[in-house]
Amino acid sequence: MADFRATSPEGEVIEYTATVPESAHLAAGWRIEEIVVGETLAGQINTDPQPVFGGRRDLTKLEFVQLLGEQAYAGILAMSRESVAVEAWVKLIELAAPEPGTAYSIDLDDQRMLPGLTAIAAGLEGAGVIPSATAWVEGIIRG
Amino acid sequence: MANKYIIHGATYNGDGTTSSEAASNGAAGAWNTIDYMTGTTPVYGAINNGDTINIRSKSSAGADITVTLAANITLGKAGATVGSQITWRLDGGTIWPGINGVLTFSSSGAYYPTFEDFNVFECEVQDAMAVVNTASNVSVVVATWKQSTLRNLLIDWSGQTGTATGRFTCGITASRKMIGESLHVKAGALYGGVFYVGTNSSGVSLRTPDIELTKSDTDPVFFCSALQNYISVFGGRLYGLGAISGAPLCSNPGGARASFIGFDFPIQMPVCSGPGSQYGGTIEVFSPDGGSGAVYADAWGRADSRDDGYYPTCNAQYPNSTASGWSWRVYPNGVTSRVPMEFAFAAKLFTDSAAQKTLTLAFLVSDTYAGLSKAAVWMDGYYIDDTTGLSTYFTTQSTGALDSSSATWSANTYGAINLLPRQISITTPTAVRQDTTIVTRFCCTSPTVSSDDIFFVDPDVLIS
Repeated sequence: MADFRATSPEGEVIEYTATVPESAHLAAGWRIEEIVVGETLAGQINTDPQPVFGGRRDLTKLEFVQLLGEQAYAGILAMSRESVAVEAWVKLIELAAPEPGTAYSIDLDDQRMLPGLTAIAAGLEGAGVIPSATAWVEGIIRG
Repeated sequence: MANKYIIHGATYNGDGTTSSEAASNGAAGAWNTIDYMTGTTPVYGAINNGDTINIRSKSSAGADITVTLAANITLGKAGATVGSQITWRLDGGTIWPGINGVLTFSSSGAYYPTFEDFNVFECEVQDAMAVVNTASNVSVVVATWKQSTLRNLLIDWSGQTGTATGRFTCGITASRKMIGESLHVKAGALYGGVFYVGTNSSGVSLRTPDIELTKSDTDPVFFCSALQNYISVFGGRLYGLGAISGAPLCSNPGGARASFIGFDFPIQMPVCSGPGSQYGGTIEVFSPDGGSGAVYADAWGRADSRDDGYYPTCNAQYPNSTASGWSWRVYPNGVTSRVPMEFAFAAKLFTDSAAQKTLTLAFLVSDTYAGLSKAAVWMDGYYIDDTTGLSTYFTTQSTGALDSSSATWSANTYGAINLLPRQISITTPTAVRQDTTIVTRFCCTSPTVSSDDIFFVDPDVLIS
């Protein structure tokens, strides 16, 4: 038995399960499809973009700089020389202390993270340092 | 290396070695499931590197085949190599006469297929193998493209007309090259770009693509988010509502290099939305207009000579049947003192007897463009010294106001922009050698304030 979807010349869709399609649905003007469910199978490679640090949301400062990217990091430092707000953001990163018992000072899920990155990203994109503010922020938040 | 065969839905599952349905399970005959294309290991026979798997484009029952995604899937088989790729070929009547169907990988949500490394996916009939996404209200990756080749496929998310967006992600890990031949893309709303190249040193090479942007958007067609990305397009076209609504062709050149030769796109589409960064990216376009026009974008801005721009012209003429005039429209919207425009726009063969010569460049500049002087706008270049035979540099950069010009232009306005005729001249200090090339650059360091701050440059530098 197989699943079929028949679309009439007028666009009416009929779905059914059968051994073979109804003969009328093989006529000119009809489109008949045999539907197969594609599934992820054991052993297939996971092709989703993977977080850099295995999904860990708490990072060291150096790991955070790695996520920012070399060019963006340089761009942020350049912007900090002209903007008190950007300098303040950089200072916050510098002043952040590790969580007790860990080496991690940066929390990607901190509620200030996304607004701060978004504001910085706009400046970086405007300066041509990064092609897309949206993509840059997305990559950092993904971890 | 062998031909293998799939007839989806056949009664028995053969060993894949013939194009006929098997008489029993494991007998010589076609495999009977499309699942072998999505990662399942054949029960009988095997898929080996170098094999071509021919797929009947209709099921045994005579229906088109639609694979509905319930999760992300991988198309093709892992483990192929650059020297021994696996080809998945959708037949259109050559092997199975009269059978001309469609194989569709369909998603209505966030699931997508990935084209596996070193696998080739082709269909005998254009668009007969398709990836279609009809998701609404969620940004999606329509498909992911690893280091594989796609021929004649259709990638379609044109049904996304609302807030949902899609993109074709190119490259999962660094240093991938994706190859597309006669790829047909129907894009709806965009999620970062149509072709989204997201990893370092990865690139996309397209031959004769057909790209339709069905919806207005601001995201570029080719998006490069990492360094050392490259885009190479030869032939093909871009059209549709989204192509004339202001979306750029590329993301701003950062560290990426993009080359478009004979790729037709409308003049309403800027090659990029802004200047590049200082990291060396460029965009080079030849014949986007079916003629001899060109476009160049760099960190300093962009210049173009599109035939359909109908720019004011002066002396330069194409060697075509009508000797039509042409010029460069130059928009240096990224210049600073550290990022000067140094636009090598002319190379002229000097054929007279050796002598000192005066070079005169004529150009038009908008009357709104402030801060211009001989210090901020100049011509430089080189010629071959007749005595030494060495390349000799020259520059007109100095001080003072730009010289007025009496050269005759076809127009002194462009739309609402009023243009002032100016010129730059220099006499070579030594004799120019006969039958050598004089190369000139148009240079500028004066920042623009608006998109009206433009030049029109005559490529025909007069030699007198």
